[in-house]
Formats: sequence, structure tokens, C-alpha cells
Amino acid sequence: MLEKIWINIRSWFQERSERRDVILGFNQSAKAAFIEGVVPSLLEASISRGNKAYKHQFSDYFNSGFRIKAFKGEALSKNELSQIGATITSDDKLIRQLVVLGFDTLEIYGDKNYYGMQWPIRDFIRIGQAQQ
Amino acid sequence: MITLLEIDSLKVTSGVTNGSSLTANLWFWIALAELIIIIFFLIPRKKSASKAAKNKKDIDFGNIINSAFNSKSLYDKLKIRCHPDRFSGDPEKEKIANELFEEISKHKTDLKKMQMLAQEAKEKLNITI
Repeated sequence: MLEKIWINIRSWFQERSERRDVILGFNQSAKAAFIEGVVPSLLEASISRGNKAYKHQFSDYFNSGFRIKAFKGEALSKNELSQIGATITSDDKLIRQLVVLGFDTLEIYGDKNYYGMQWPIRDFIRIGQAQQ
Repeated sequence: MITLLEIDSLKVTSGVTNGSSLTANLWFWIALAELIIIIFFLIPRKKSASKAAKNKKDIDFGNIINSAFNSKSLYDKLKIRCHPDRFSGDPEKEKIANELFEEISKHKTDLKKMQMLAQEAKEKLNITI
């Protein structure tokens, strides 16, 4: 009983740490790409509440949204937002990693959080398909 | 009577001092236990950090971010230049173009993969991109 509780506590802390690593990894790469001038917008990933309608079996109870904020200096068009979303949802490895870490919603927002798009991550897990 | 009271008060005061020292001891042990727990959590975290770094390397965030903004333009170029209809006169090239076109459509959001396919198309189909 105690051992089970201890394992749960440890795995919870480990999961938090892994979530933080994914966010940090994304942000570091985004900053580097922006500084080098490879991309026109600065992207920043963070954890948000997520959308309750997109919950799945492994969703985190409180914060289950993977939010990406794009800073461009001007409003991002719907096409640009959907292109960022499509790129992320087509990366099988990242999607699987997000599911494992309890994320259920992918959110892409403009720099002021007034507008954006959401995707249910569960729709993009290609179960049974070979890794690319 | 007075002396008794004094004795009682002394007893009471001494009792209080004993109690406070006990609680101070208790807090010391709690703090020590917390410190041990924190150290315990910090030690394996260093090991898991290297695992996380490996995971980070597995997921190519640089390519994902780069693809989000630059893959569409390359895809638009490739889908025109490598379209099988352009090589309808040469069956061998048409077959290669078919395969390449399929791969390009499949990886249209993966810039790295598309750059590799573009290189392959240049070599096999003799086209400029």
C-alpha cells in the first residue's frame, strides 16, 4: 500500500519534470530559430488548462493544454495558425509524447491570447501505424 | 499559602519551558526530515534530466518550428516540379516521379525530409529547384 503511494508520488514528480523538459526544449529551439532568422515569429510553449471536451484516458486532471503563443508583431492569419498546428499534429513522436505526458489539447494562439485555434490531440494519435 | 502558590507558579512556568523545548525539537526533526526528502528527490532528478535530454534530442523541435513556417513554400515548389505528368514521355522517370510525389505529399509538413527528397529529385530527375 505504502509502496504504491510512494511509486505514485515519484511518477507524478517525474511526469512534472518531463513536461517541463518538453516545454523548455520547445522554447529553446523556438528562441534559437527566431534569433537565427530562420522563422519570422517567436513561438513560446506553455501549459494551459486545456479543453474539457478533448479529455482522454491519460489526460492530466488540471492542466492538460499544450499552448503555443506566436509573437509576430502583427496578428497571425488563420492560415498561419493552422499551418503551425498541422506541423505539430503531423509529428507522431511529439504527439505521442504529449499524450503520455497528460496533454489533451493543442492550442495555438496569437500574441495577445484573444484568438487562436484548438485541436484535440487524441485525434492525431495514429495507433497501429508504423513510426515514420 | 503564598509559598505554595509560588511553588505552583514555578512548576507551571517550568512546564511551559519544557513544552516549548519539546516543540522546538519536533520542528527540528520535521525540518530535517523535509531536508532528507528534498535531497532524495534531487538526486534521481539529475539522472532523469539526462534521460529527458535524450528525449528532447529524439524530438526535433528545431525541425518542427522550422517546418511550421518554411515547409509550405518548398512543398508548393516540389509538387509542381516533381509532378509525374511532367515526365509522361519517360516511363522510368515517371515511375521515380510517382514515388517521389507520393513521399512529398506524405511529408509535406516535414521540412528536413522534403529537403532530402528535393535533393533526390535533383539527382534522379535532373530538375532544378
